[in-house]
Amino acid sequence: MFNVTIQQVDPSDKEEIVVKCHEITDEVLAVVNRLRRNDSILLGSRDNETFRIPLKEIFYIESVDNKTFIYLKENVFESKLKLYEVEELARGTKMFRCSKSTILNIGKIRSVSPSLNGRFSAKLTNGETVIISRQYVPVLKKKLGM
Amino acid sequence: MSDKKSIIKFSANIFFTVTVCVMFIISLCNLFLPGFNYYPKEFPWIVMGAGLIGAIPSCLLCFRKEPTRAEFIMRCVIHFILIEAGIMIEGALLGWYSDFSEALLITATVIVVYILVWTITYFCSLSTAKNINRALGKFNTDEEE
Repeated sequence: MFNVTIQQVDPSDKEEIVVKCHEITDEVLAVVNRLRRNDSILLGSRDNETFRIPLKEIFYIESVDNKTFIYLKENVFESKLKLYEVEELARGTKMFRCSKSTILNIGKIRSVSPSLNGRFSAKLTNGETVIISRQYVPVLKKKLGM
Repeated sequence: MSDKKSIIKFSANIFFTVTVCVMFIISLCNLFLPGFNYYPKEFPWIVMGAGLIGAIPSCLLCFRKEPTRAEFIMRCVIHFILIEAGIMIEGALLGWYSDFSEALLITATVIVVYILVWTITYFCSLSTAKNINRALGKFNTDEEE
C-alpha cells in the first residue's frame, strides 16, 4: 500500500501529483490511470457519431480484419486505434490481452471454464463467451494475483 | 507468420516433452525391471523419432479459429491415427513386436496412454479454471470494496 501525503501549496505554485515508487508496476499504473481520467476513456464511433466510452463499461475489444471493435453490454463501437495501442492505453487497468485478437475486461467475467485444446472460455456477465488462449492464461492469473 | 511461429513453438514443446518422457521411462525401466537393458547404439535416434512422432501430428491441434466439438474430435481422431501409425512403423523397424498379438498390445498401450494424457490435461485445466474462478470472486469483491 502507498502512503498518501497531501501537501497544501501556495496559490502561486503549480498544483501537481507526484507518484514515488520503487518500480512501475501494474498497481502504480492503475493509480496513475485513475488520476488521468481522460486515459480511462476510449473513443468509439458508430453511425458516423463518436462516443466517449469509459474503460470500465467495455466488455472486450476485438480486432477483426484490421479493424478494432469495442464491445459493450449491448452495443458495438469501432475504434480507430490498433489493438496494441488499446492494450498500451489499458495497461494497469482490469483489461488484459486474452488472445491474439482480443482484449478482455476481467471485471466483466462471470466464470471461466476449460475449453477444447487447452484453451479456456470466459463467460461474461452479458452472456457472451470469449476464448482465452493458452498462452495468455498466465497473464490473467498474474492480474488476479495468483 | 505469428500463427506459424506458435505452431512451431507448440510442436517443439511436444517434441521435447515426449523426448524427455521416453528417456525418463526407459531409464526407470532400466533401473527397476530385471533383465531390461535397453540402450541400443541407435538410442538417440529412437528417442528423437518418438519425439517427432508426437510433435509433427500435434500441428493438427493448432486451430486458427475456435473449433466446433465435431471438428475437434475429428482432428483428435486423425491425430491419434497418425501417432499410432508412426509408433507402429517405428516399432516394426526396431523389432518392438514380432506377431499380431504383440502389435495389438502396443496399440492398446498407445490408446491407454493417449486417453490418459487427455484426461490428465482436462483435469489440470478444470483445476486451473476453479482456481481462476475463486480468484475472480475475490478480485471482484475487493474491487467493489
